[in-house]
Parts: sequence; structure tokens; C-alpha cells
Amino acid sequence: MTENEILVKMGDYAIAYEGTTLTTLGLGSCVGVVIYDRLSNVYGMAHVMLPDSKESQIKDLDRKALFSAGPTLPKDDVKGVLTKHEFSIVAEADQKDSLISSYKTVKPSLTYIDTQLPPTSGEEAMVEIKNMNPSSNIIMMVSHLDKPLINSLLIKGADDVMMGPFTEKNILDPSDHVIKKNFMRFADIAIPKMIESMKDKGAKKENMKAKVVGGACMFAELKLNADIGKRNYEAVKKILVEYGIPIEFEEVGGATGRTIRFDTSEAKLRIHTKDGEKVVG
Amino acid sequence: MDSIIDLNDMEMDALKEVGNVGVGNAATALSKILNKKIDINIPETTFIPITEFSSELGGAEKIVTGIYLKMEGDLDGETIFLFSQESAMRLVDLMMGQEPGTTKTMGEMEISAFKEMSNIFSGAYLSALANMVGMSIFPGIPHISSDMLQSIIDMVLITIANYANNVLCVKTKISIENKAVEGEFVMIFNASSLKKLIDTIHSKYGLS
Repeated sequence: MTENEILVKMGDYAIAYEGTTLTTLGLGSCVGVVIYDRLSNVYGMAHVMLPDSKESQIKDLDRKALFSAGPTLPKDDVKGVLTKHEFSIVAEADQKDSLISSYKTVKPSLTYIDTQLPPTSGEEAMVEIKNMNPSSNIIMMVSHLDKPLINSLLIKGADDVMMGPFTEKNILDPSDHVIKKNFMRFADIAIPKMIESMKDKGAKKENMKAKVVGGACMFAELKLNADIGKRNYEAVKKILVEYGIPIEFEEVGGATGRTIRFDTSEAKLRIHTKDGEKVVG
Repeated sequence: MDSIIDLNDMEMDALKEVGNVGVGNAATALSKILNKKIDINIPETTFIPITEFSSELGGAEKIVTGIYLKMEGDLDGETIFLFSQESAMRLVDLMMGQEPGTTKTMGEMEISAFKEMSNIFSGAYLSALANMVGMSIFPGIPHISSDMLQSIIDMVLITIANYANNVLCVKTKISIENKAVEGEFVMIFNASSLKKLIDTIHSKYGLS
């Protein structure tokens, strides 16, 4: 674990800027997908569990939100968009302590925190809530494109970051990501969502490249379920082909667990297995 | 709905009891084949969010040895037993009548000895479960893998991930002649099997 590492949880994705390492741990049948645009410096990683969502019985989170903002955030605009899209803001806070106590009382599905939240910063409140409940869902709000700040929020565990200007698109992108987070385990949902979100962040489809790792079969002799890794890989590949994004590196299959770390400054991928580590293109 | 099924405290207790009896029986069987005294802690039975699973069980990259098997018969499900690498190697030493610490890696021979043990272990576990609920449950062939915890468990979590966000986990510690062997047992039932199990416990033990 390096200090600039963003941990991508199983069944989720994260998008960051240069200066970070995107990491996902212990891929077995799951597939790790890196998509990046070196020219725009936008980097994404997804940890896919299942090929498609059609047969699933998973639901969205309910739209119960806790909202906190300091004095400078245009909170009525943001709240207006959320309410219009059927988010229900069940509690509000204007400083850290009241946010924490509201969090404990209302148990929201998702919590919006202004990085400028008094008295010091919203970041502290986020870390406190995450320590209290690692499964909490937190969207940090940043008033303008401040890449180092956004990176650092993701490193510290924010589920997503909403950035200004607070247009409808910028408000809904992270909100949808979190509310549909149970669907981010499916390739057919996570990969298109990550690509679209990268485009919103300035990446261009024609510059995007992909690296795909994982899809193993950990119990080598097992017949049942054995092809899930392969099906995950095929689903990912099909989507990348549809988008016209070339796979410049892949290491899939076998019977080995793999941790991947994508260093955004070098655009290099490190693959760690129980037998050692290597750096690939 | 986060869990496969909503359970009240009484039903949760009944499931815990199922876990306890299974683990107890498996430990007894292990004690017999190893001819060693085995102590067992009371298992902890909880539902764990699938995304938090590996951090709850010691970290995604922790090297573990997993035994995976399917349950067939009246109940349809999967079980995975996880042992820390150290514990797995200790069990192999005991199986092979070696000095503790002899086994340094889980090679082919070690896996074969481990598989032998897991057949007995998992069979005992499932027959206790079957007896308790009065059902026929047959263990499938056990499959073994030694690798990072997250990579071993993801196939099982994937099965769940299609319809739920939590997984039932029975955690316990057994000690063999005062040396700890840590094991985690994860039972995965599909929603209808879990319901069937709970219903059977209800009618058999008169829970309300």
C-alpha cells in the first residue's frame, strides 16, 4: 500500500487523475479493467464480478440522502437537482458535529459532504464516518476542478466526488454511481458507466486504452462455475470492442489470484501474485 | 433488501446453532483422524457485506487455503472452509505425522493430504447439519486452492452477488493440543434453500 493509492473495491470502479495509483486486490474470477486516456490524464479502474445484470435481483439503494454544505456551496441548486431526480434529503447539516450526529440518527443511504464544511474541512467528517461505518456511501463536493484534492479524497475513501460547476450532469454522475453501486459489479453496467463518466471528466474515447487482468478459475478441477472468470473477461472485451477501445495488455485465466496496481504517472501496471510481482506495459 | 432473507433473532440463533453443531462435529471427526485432543471456540455467525468480506476475515491478500464444496440433496448451496496458510500447514504436519513446522509450502503432496482431511471434515460438518434439520444433504467433491483470500472467495461471493449483498459466515477457532488452528466457514445458500432451512428449523424446534 503506497500513500497515494486509491483502493477500488470489489464490484465498483474509481476514476482519478495523474499522481495516484489505482489498486484492486485479489482478483480471482473477477476481472480488473483499467481504462485510461494518457493525453487528458484521466484514469479509471473497475473490479468486475459478473458479466451481465439482466438476470439479477439486485436493487438500487433507496434515495435517502444526508446533505451537508458550508456557506459558499450553491446548496439550493444542488439540492434542487437531487430533489427533481427523486432523491429525498432527510437531513441537513452545516458543520461537522451536526453532520456526524445526523448520520447516526438518520442512517442515510448516501451522504453528501462539502469539502469546505466548517469548522475545518469536510474531509475530516468523511474519514470519521468511514471509520464508523466502512460500508457508508459518501460523495464529496468540490467547488471546482482541483485534481490533487479530488485524488486525495478518493485515496481517503470517498465513494465519488461531485465537482463544480454544479450542473445537472455533474451532480447526477456521482449520485447515480453511488445509488446504483450494487450494479457496479456487473460488466454491462460498470464499464459503460465508467467510460461515460471519464468522458465527462475530459477524457476522449479515441484516446482511451485498456488493460484487462483476472478471470481466473481458482479451483482448477471445478467444472461448475468454472467459466465465470472467462465469461467476465468475454463480457468486458465485448463492451470494449463496442466502444472501439483497444486492449493493449491482457493477462486472463489460469488459476492464480492477482492484485493489480496501475501507476498513473508511468501508465504501467504491476501484477502481484502469491509467487511474486511483475511490471507490465 | 440487503440480505438474502430477513431473519429475526430467534431464527438467527437457530442458524448459529446449525453452525455450532456442524463445526463441533467436524472438529470431533478431525480429532479422531489426527488422534489429537481438539478444543473449539463457540463460533461467531454473522452476515457480512460481500464488499467487506475479505477485510473482516484478515485482509484481501492474506494467503489462505480454501476448501470449496457444493451441497446437494434437499438443500442447494455452497460451503467454503478457509484456513490461514499457517493453520493449513500445521494440519498437514499432523495428518502426515510430522514434526510441526515441517511443511513449508502447500505442494501437490500437501494438498493431497489436506484434501483427505477435508473430505472427512466437510462430510462431518454436513452430516451434522443434515441430522439437525432432518434433511438429506450430500457434500460434493472438495476442491482445494491456496492463494489470496479475496481471489479464493470471489467465486462464492459472485454466486451471491446476483441477488444479495450479504453473506452468511460462521467464524471459529479450533486448537489442536493447545496450538491454534484458525478456520472460517462460509455457508452460502440460495434464497429458497435458506428459507427451507429456516422453515425446517421452525417446524422441528417450534420457533415462533
